[in-house]
Amino acid sequence: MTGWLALSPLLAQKPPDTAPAVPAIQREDIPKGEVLVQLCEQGLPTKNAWPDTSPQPTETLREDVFGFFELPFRYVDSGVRADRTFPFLFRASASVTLPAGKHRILLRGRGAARLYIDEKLLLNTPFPTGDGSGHGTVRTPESYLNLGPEFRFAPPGNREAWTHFETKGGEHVVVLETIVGSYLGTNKRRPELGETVVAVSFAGSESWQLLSPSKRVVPYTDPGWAAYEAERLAHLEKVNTAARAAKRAEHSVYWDRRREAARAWLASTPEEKVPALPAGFPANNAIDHFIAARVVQVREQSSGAEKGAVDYFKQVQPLLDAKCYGCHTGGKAKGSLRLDDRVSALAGGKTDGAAVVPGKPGESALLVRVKSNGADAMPPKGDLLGAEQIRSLETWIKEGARWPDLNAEDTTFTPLADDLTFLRRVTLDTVGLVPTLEEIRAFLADKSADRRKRVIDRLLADARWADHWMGYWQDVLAENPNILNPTLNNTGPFRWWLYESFQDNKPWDLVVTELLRMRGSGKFGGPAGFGIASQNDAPMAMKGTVVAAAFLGVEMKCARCHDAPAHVSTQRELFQLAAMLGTKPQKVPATSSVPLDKIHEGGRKPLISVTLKPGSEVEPAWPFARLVPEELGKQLAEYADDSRDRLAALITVPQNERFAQVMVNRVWQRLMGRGLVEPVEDWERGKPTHPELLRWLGREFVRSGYDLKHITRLILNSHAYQRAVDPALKETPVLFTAPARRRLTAEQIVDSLFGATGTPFRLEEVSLDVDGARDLNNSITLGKPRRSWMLTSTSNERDRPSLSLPRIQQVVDVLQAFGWRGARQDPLTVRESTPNVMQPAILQNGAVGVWLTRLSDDHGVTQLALSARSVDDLLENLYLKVLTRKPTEKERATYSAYLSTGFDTRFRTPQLKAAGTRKPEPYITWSNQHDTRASLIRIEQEAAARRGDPPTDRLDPDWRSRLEDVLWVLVNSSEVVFSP
Amino acid sequence: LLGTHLARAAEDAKSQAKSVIILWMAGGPSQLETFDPKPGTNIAAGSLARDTAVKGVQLANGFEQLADQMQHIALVRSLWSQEGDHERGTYTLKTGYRPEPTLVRPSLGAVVCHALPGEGVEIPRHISILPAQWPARGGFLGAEFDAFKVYDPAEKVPDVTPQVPPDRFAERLKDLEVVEAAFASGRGNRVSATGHKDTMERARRLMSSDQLKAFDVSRESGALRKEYGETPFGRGCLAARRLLEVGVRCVEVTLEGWDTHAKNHELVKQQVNVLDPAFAALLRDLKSRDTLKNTVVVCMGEFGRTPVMNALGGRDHWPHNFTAAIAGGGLRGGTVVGESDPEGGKMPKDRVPVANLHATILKALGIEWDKQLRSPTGQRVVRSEGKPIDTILR
Repeated sequence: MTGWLALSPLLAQKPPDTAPAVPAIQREDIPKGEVLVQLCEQGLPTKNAWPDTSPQPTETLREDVFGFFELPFRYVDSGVRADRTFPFLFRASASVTLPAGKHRILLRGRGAARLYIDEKLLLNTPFPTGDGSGHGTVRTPESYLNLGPEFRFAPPGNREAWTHFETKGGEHVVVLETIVGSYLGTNKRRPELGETVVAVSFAGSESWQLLSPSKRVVPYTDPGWAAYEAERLAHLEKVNTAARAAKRAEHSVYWDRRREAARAWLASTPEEKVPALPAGFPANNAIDHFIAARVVQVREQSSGAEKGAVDYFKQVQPLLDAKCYGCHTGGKAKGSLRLDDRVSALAGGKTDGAAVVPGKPGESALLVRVKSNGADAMPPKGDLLGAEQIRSLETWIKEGARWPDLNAEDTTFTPLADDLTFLRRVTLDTVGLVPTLEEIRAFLADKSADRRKRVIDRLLADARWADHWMGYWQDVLAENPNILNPTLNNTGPFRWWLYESFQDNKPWDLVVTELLRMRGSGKFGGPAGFGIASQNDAPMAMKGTVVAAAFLGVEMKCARCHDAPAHVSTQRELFQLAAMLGTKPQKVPATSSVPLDKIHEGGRKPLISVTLKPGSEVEPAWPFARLVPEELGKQLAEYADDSRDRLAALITVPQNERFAQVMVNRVWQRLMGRGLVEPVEDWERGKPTHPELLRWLGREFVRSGYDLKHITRLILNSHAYQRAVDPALKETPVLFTAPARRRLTAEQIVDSLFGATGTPFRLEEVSLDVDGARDLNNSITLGKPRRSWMLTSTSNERDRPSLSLPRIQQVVDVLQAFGWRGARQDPLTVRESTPNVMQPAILQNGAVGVWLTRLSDDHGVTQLALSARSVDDLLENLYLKVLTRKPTEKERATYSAYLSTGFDTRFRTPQLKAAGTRKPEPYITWSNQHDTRASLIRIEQEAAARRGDPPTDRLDPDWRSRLEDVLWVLVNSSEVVFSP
Repeated sequence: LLGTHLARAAEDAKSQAKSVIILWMAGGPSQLETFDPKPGTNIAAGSLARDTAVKGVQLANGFEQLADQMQHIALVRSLWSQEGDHERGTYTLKTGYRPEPTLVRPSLGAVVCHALPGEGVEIPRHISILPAQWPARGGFLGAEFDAFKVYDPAEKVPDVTPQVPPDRFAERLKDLEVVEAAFASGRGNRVSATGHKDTMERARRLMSSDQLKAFDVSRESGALRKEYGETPFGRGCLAARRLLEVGVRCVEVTLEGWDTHAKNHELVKQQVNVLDPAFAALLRDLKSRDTLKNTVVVCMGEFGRTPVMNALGGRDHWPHNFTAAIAGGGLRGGTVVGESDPEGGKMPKDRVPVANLHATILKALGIEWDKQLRSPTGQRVVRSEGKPIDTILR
């Protein structure tokens, strides 16, 4: 068996019997000083076995050392994340120079692995075993391989082997092969490398390092690996970003054509003229012109007609709301009579003619009907109007039926918010966090006139921009991955594709197109994951409701089972949309329909009509001809014969003005606290308060190439956005005269608190299968979380403490108290934000509250306290970090007294930590959940999580606890929960 | 507190049930080894039964204490659901509706709290003790109707107990006022409208409420605690009784561990050892305080278990017919509704849809069970689409 390495790959056959196929690698292929990584996706057996013939590479990469845990992602189409074919063979080869001596060599990997040095098989590890059940045992600390004082213990799910290797010194060809992904019966396990490494401990040394063909030395210790991992992840992110860009460039011809078509459309349609700024109004940009012009308009409406005895908003509108609006608003108004606005009311309905004739109560059908005692009396159900109420209506009509379209009591603007308030608001609104001390200082040091504009530009270029948008779109698109067995409406974790889309600031016509194509990876983060809806009998109908609400502001939820009483969308329309998404006719499932006899039971008049029989098949068709004609889809889609592509084109082409307007309205609502149309996801129920501004912004969106950052930049720079809040407001007024305080999102609150206090966001991996023992249909991992949006539901369908994630659970409890959803079975645009008692309670007393306010060794405020020059300095920095403002005089006085005592003598010499024996951290996962020790360990971990880390011993305990009190007050102040 | 007592007294005068305790058997208890034994049949697989205080009504072996309370209990032995999955089944039994993709229904306790407002109650009126995976929720009624979760009453109530000594906490709150003052002031010195202050106030009221003592079962005599059983579930039942006395409307107490896919007989026996003393002591205790008539106690899980045993000596999920036990609230005790098939067939006599159980409980509470409500999206929905089981209502 000598000399195989020099042979051609053709001859690299498996020797008879048990000897495995030798790697098809030739010495001259191996680059000097680098590790050649080859991935072979073809020619692998469909069971847990090595291939008979060494397979040919389908992809090659270069690495520095023999340490592997993640590969660059594969991207397809315009740059969406996809899966490799797996199991695949991973081969790493290098020419390594070793000193003379007898060294120790360690091989570790999640999949079966084998290591050749020169021509010999030196080490190998077996294929993963286990049946996917939870009856494994929790490993005892003693069972771990421990080969030295700083030896890194095997992480979960890795198999390992080691041996001595003796050399006279010199170059050796090292080849590592491992099979990534394995079979569990006919199912597959996740294709993960785990920690695939070759490490060496040289003769005479106790320490370990990753085997390296170059001068690069990576200590194979816990800190050594952590640093290496961080460095490689940053590198991989660059590689991935470049790969996506390259893929996107492949489709630039088509997308350039779309841009050209959009420009042509803009040129062929009238521009929305920016109104002149009325005298006396402040303006930073065009937005303020629109806002001011509208205020002037409303003022004129209110003062134009002489004030009558009846106030529309106090006496008339509530009446209409209570007695008429149930039936007489929106596209499906009874008798075609709409009472939404003055024009409709004057026009009247089918039977009676004008509902309101200004000045003539006798001719106004509205009044005739409410006064009637006969069969035509209105309202038909419930209490009739009282005499007082009728008199109000009568007087109101007599006085000319003054009907202002906006209720605007106060039309004066608040001034600009001060600089620090602005900085806090804009930072929260762009990157989802409060500004750091460095950011605050840099901003305060900037004396230029356009410093606000500059800070906006800086924040829009910040990578954390992507983090801040995640939770919002996870809600809107009902991203709902489950880390354990599928439940209702689970999707794949397409969060990763979404995140990359924000990182790349993809144009949104492209984002929608990629989403609707549902290609790429289903289980590991591509948009194909959006196409999944587990346990749903009409998954594409469910996706149809998501898409219609998200991008068109059309609410179709009810249409799933019947034609909605309050909405124009029919069941047929939804199933047409579903069929476009499903690329084939869709059947109406029996369970998705309201059985007819049930409606008729008891003689109650049905409120709903069912026009499609269960079982009927509906062909793909564009149901929204009212927005844009169907032919455009064929003309503008990249692949016109694919109904998904046609649908994507129909939604995103500029001719469909609704899409651009829905998108800008979403951004507007998020930043301004109120949409220009409300509800944001259901335009049938509302109408624009500023139609011209909406149209102008929509065209700006198209003009910018569907760039959300452009729209955000416009809004953030406006005076309207930068105005001081009016704390007396419950909600932002329709004229945007002053912002109301917005309740921050759960993610903003949690991430900001961790960030501002410098509390480490140290949580478990988001997985209940950390060793990768289960099949991938039943368990996934969402990795180590860095921000709140990366978490998901911790529900585990069983009642075992062993299947809990104690530290994640603590954070999830806080997030949920503030309206975050772990499971997102349905889409949602605006979260519950009503205050509840758990919010203050959980922050004041819960475990996360303890973590945030306990000054442990690695807590950010501990550092601040140690380096503070004076009490004033400390207080000021603390206030800036947590509240982005300086303490008031009163606050300064209160806390200075508190912290001055003992400030100068606060330092303590830390105790030397007893060396102790290192022990591997036990891990609990699906595969060992039934072990009685698993529950005990988890219960202890949970108790530890609740206790929090011990306080630092570098500060005087008494003084420290007083500082903790101050920190506690800041963390629990209302300012932490609301936008400034 | 006086107000509450007066309110209670007024309610008592009407002699109608005003609150609910749900003993939630998470996992799906085997009806054959609990409330619907079939001794001597094939499907019993050797399980035995015992007579009770009510002639002709038997309970499974092991319910020594509950058997003596049978005169207070009505058994619905033909309960019918269509959901054999834990999550979906739990939703169905807790809300009275099957899961729908478009609307989340409120759990029974939320419906009750919504229909029967309460005055002077400083602590949450809907409470889940030892919550399992899917505690009772407010659904479309809103998160404010979600059950407030608490764990073993032997421990402290979660997150309402300050982490520092009372005087230091008081100091913290005082200091917080200073910072809050900066937050509240604004344009024209108008008051902040965020509602957060009110919430903080309610949280503070909760934290400082005397009614929190209701969670503290150590205030009961050792003898009584022993009667309930020195288990988390037993303590939960005792806490439930105490909570109702301060005005709480609905308490759910969960006993987990009924998912007996293997070794059914052995595992159920352990469960019954916990359930029997707690359930029986609760009924005795309520009776002796003369509040049983004002309290509906219902014991149920998400489904029953297969009459035919599997090869592991276990029973699997069986939603086709299973049993709920209801007591108190003026309901007719000692009665049995429906009859399951002794051969283990799917079709019982007088099948009772889950919704009917809900309608029955709502009616016993004097709540208009078929009243139409509006969901936030304007959908018209009824509290329960079931029909009350008149034979057990008085």
